[in-house]
This record gives sequence, C-alpha cells and structure tokens, in this order.
Amino acid sequence: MNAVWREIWRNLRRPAAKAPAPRRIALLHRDCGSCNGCEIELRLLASAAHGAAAQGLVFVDTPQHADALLVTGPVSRNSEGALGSAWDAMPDPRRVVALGDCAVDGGVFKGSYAVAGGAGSVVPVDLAIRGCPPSPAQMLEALAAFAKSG
Amino acid sequence: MTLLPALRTAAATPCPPTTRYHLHAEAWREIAAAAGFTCEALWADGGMVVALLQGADGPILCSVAVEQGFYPALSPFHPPAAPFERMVRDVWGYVAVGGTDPRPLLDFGHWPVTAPLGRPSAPYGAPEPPESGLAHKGTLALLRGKSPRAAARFAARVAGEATVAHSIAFARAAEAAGRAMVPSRAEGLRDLMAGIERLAAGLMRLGAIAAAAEAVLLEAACARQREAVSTAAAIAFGHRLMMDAVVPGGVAADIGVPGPEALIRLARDLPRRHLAELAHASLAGRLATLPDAARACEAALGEALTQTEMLVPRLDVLMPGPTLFALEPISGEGLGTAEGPDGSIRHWLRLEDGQIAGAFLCDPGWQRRPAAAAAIAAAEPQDRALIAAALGVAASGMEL
Ligand code: SF4
Repeated sequence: MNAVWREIWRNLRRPAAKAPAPRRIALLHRDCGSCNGCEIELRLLASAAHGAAAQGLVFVDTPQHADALLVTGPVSRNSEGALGSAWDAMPDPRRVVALGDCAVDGGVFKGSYAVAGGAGSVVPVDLAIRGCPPSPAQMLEALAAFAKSG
Repeated sequence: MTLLPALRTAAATPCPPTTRYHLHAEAWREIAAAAGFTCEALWADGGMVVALLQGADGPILCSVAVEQGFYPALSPFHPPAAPFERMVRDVWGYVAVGGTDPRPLLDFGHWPVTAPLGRPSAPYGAPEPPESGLAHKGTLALLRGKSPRAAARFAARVAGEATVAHSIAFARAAEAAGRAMVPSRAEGLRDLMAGIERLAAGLMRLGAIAAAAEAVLLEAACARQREAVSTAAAIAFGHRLMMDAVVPGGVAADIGVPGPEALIRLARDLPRRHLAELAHASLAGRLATLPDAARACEAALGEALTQTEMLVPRLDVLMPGPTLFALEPISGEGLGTAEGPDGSIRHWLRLEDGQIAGAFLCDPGWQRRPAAAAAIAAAEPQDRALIAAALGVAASGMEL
C-alpha cells in the first residue's frame, strides 16, 4: 500500500512538461591566491556528486573556449597579471563570477599589501557568490541561474 | 639531553614546549654545521633570524642577530632552508650570506612596498612576471598587533585543506605563549575535528588520483563520500570545512546536538570495503610502474579508512565540561604543533601584552612542494598529471 502512495506522490511532484534543456555555460576557473578552501568546494561541484553538468555547467581550460571567468581568492598582487591576460583572451560576450568572500571583496585579506582586493579590482564582475567558502549547493544554484540569465 | 657547547654557553629563553637559544654568529655557524639537526623552518622577528631545528631530543629554536641586513646562511648545510631564506629576504629584507639560492620566492616587484615586515620602502626596479608567490596574501603582516583570538581567522585560512590542523597549531602556540590551559573537552573536540578533516583529505587525494587516472567510478565514489563527510561536519560543527571552529583557549562552540548521531551514521555508512576494493581494482594497473604515486594512493586510502574507524572512539572519549577558557593578555613566546593531512604543522607566536608581535606559520608544503616539483619534473610526460595529483600540495600553505 505504502509503495502505491509513494508512486502517486512521486508522479504528483514530477514536472508536467519536460523541462527545457538548461543553457550551457563554459566556465574558466582562475585561482588568484585562494586559501584552497573555495577550490575544495569547487572541485566537489565539478565532480559527479552534484550534477553540475546536468545544469549546463561545463568547465574548460582555455580562455578562448570560455563564456565566463570564475575567480577565486582575494586577487594577490602577484596574480593580477595572469587574471588580466585570461580576461583579455576571452571572446565576447564574456562575463565574470567572483566566487567566495575573497574574490568578492578581498575577504579577510582586505587591506593587505599583497592583495588587490577582489576580482572587481581587475575585471568587471557580473555575479558575486558570497561564502567562505560557498558550499557546492550554493555555487550550483547561483551558477545555474546565472547560466539562464545569459 | 647532551647539549652542544655552542648551545650550553648561549643565552636561553623559554619557548614552551621548547627553548630558544640566542646565538652569536660564530655559534650559529657551528650549529649549522653540526650533525644531528635538520632545519624545519626559518623566519625573522625583530632584527633576528630564527631557525626551528629538529634534533634527536625534539625541536629547538635558535636565533641570530641580523647585522646591517645580513645573517649567515643555513642552506649550504641544510638544503631545505633555501626556500625559507628566499622568503626571509622578500618579506623582511634580510639577506643570507652564502645562501645557495638568491632568487626571489614571493616578491617580484608587484607589491606597493619591499620588505613589508622589515624596513618597508618603495619598490625599486621594474616588476617581473612572478614565478611563484601567486598565493601570497601577506598573512604574517595581518597577524601583527592582533590578539590571538582576533587573528585565529587568518590561521584558519592558511590552507583550506588543513584549516582545522592550522587552527589547532595556532591555538597551541598562543596557549603556550600565554601559559594558558585548555579544557579537556575542547582537546577531545579538536581531535575529533582533526580526524574528520584528515578523513576528508584522504578522500580528496584518492579522488584526485582517480580523476587523473580516469577512474570515473572511483572518482565519483570519493566525491560522494566527501560530500557526506562535509555534510556531517556541518551538522556537528556548523561549517563544512570546520573553519573557525578551533580558537585559542578551546573551541568556538560545542558539538551540535545532532552532531554525534550524524558522525556515527557517517562512520557506519561509509563503504570502507567497497572503497578499498574499487581503489585497488581501478588503480593497481595504472600505478604499477609508479611507486611514489602508488604509495601516496595507499596512504590516502589508509587515512580515509583509519580516520573513519576512529570517529566513534573519539566521540566516546569526549569529557563533559567547558569548551573555552580565557587567555590572559601576557607576554611570551610559544610553539604549537598539530598533525595535518600532509604532516606536522608548526606555528610560532611571540606575544606582547596579549598581542601578536611576531609570528610564523609553517605548513608541510615547505618540505613537500620542492620534493613534489622534482618528482613531477622527473616523470614521463604522460604520468605527470597523475604524479601531481598523488603528491599534490596546494600553494597557499607555504606562500602565506
Ligand atoms: S573565501 Fe574563504 S575559503 Fe574562499 S579562498 Fe577566501 S578564505 Fe579561502
């Protein structure tokens, strides 16, 4: 009996029409002096555990193939140049996501002689995902909505 | 302990749990050349250069005065000292006379100052493309003038993969410097958290090896289990990586009410046998000709299995009682040690009236990164990604 009810419940919750295929977004990640905390969660998002691919998130290695630049870390002065070059090599239209408190505004490292203070000090930021670090679920939600908005 | 003559005649001050010897340049050279010591770390503080030496009787600190910006190098006798000497030059501006490697490590002319912790001045010369130091965030400068409690968040962000272990080493250094006690319940909770972190790190390393070897089933299994570990950690300690959960004097908060049950369930449900079989089945062939990577893989798997088994025993030995003691605002220095996922982490603090006047936070990356770089360079091109994953060391820990 229970099983029958469970089946009915599942059917009720199923979306009526087939959901449209999510829009694909190619993400290029650049670590700009992260403590590695944001990377740990980002790698988990990119792995099979969170179904990022099903939401249209694709990770690429070269700027030429990227729709959006995913920046982690407070943007150390030593990484400013590499971040700028990655951005310059990306084709239009291109967007920037600041991932984690550090990339949003420098986080706890704000004001240090060695950091520029967030992705926005080098490239124009379109989406800020807060958290230290943000969880893979938070990243997924924000990035999936971002992909749709593009 | 039989002390070398150079140490016996030197002025000694306490640096719990060890001693700091203040050496003349001559005695410093004698110690540098003496057998039986290895150099674990080297940094500067208030016109001195300090070396953390590991001897048969445990670690000791030796320091020597910097004369007009110079001090005698350790690197000719202790090759691991070379990257530290490069760092001391970039961050404090002190030059190791006779050092084996004169290249910069962190400062390539992109900071608004040179020698930010020594005598800061405007940079000279044109900036160069940085060969390293991309993760340098100026952490040591940010610690200065803060109380250990206020500065703990920087220690927690030295290396995300070892945030708990770094926080424990930092707390222990502050407690040693401040002659403070820690509640036994907090000690137990620290052990528990450190174990969860090492469990996650073992799965992370195994997953990275699987990804590099294109073992998709194993990679997915590691990711799923790591997600389970992080979820349980968040239930128990309010943060998936347990960042900021350990603070000087104890822990920030007691384990949450549903925490023990979540951890017991994690230990019960983690498929240890399946993971081990899957790891061996999917990697044995690929790693057969790569002994270093195979060893790292076994170590990662072993760590994941052992730390899983330790979860419940660590919960069982938790004592009732308080979880945080106050720290007196006193002066002194101390050394703190914690076992992280990749080896011993050591933090040194010097407090003046309860505020940080000098600090060094030493990650195992200082030892491991040069070794990993050499192994990767020596490997066949098609094996490099795999070796890198197996020996993987993130930059942030050593670049501070
Ligand atoms: S936001 Fe937090 S976790 Fe991410 S890099 Fe910065 S300190 Fe590390």
